[in-house]
This record gives sequence, C-alpha cells and structure tokens, in this order.
Amino acid sequence: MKTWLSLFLPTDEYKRQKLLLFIAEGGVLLVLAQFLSLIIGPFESSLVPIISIGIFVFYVTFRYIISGMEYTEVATQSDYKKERKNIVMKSLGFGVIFTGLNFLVQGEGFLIIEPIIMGLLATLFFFLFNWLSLKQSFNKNRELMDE
Amino acid sequence: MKNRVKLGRIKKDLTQAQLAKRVGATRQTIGLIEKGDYNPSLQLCIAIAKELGQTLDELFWEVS
Repeated sequence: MKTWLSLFLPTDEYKRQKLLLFIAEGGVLLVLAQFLSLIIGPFESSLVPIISIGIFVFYVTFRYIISGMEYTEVATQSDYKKERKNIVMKSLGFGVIFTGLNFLVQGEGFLIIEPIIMGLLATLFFFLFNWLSLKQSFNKNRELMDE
Repeated sequence: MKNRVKLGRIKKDLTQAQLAKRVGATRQTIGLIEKGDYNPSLQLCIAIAKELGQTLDELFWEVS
C-alpha cells in the first residue's frame, strides 16, 4: 500500500494494518466531535479543535496501548522483567528531561514545587502507559508462544 | 484462517522468532498467523512458503 503515511508506520504488516485502523477510527471520532460541536455549539472558537485533537490523540494512543502490539518479542517472564526495568529507566529519564524543560519555560516568580509536581505526574503517567502496554503485549505474546 | 504454518515451521526446525526475522515480520505476527487470528497478505504468505520450502496450497489451502 503506497501512502505518505507509510513513513510513520511500522514495517510489520499486522502492526501497520492495526495502526491504520486505529487512526481511521480516531479520524471518524474527530469528525463526529467537530460535527457535534456544530450542532450543540457555539463554543469558544479555540476549544473545539483542541478537544477534537485531544480525542483523536487519546483514542489512537489508548487503542495502541491496549492492543498489546508494542512489545512484540516479550513472551517470557525474564523478557518481561528486563523490559519493565527498561521502562523504569526510560520513565526516570523522561521525568528528568520533562522537569528540566518545565523549569526553563516558567516565568518569573513561580513556585518551585509546581514544575516538580508536574514532572512527577508526567513520569508516573509515562510509566503507567508503557507498563500497561508491556503487560498487554506480554499476555498476548504468551498465548501465541511456541509450546 | 486455518493453516499449516506451525507444522511447516516445526518440520524446518525453526522458532517463531527465526521465521519472523527471515520473512520480515514480528514474532507476534507469526504467532497470530499460526493461531489463525490474522490473515497475512499474499506477499507475506509467499515469503513464509518460500522459507518453509512448501507451496501456498500446502500451507494455506483448507481441506475439509
């Protein structure tokens, strides 16, 4: 299938097809959200696109996470533990960078605790999303594994 | 779709991961194909058949 979207899609055909399906479903929801806003509106003009894009991004991400197709090679307990450790390290790295950037973009006279709490929350969510994806992948792969 | 990919793979003494690597797929995709939960494209069917040294009929034709 030739499409410019291929640049952003995985090479494995199952993953590619599934991801395209999630994006298409998300696209339909986005159109529905826009349409609904026309009917029940008027809303503040900047709110509608922000919410619509939020719905699209959240839907596609959530479907991808629960599909269990991110960690395709994790099928044993040892693989799982190793990957979980990687996720913890990745989350900590992300948290440090996120908190650092958050400090940089703060204006004058901000409370130090604010970017720290934001950083902790971002780290927690980053870890939870990745861990859920890993757990789903592990369960799926275990069922499909060689006996 | 029922198929005989798993049998063919075991005959060739390959693991799911080895077959996946050779045909440019993931281990999960091979597992899904073997279980009949995913219908691969013709291109992937041919790649699997070539790797396992069997014809498409032998691997994918359903015999009632």
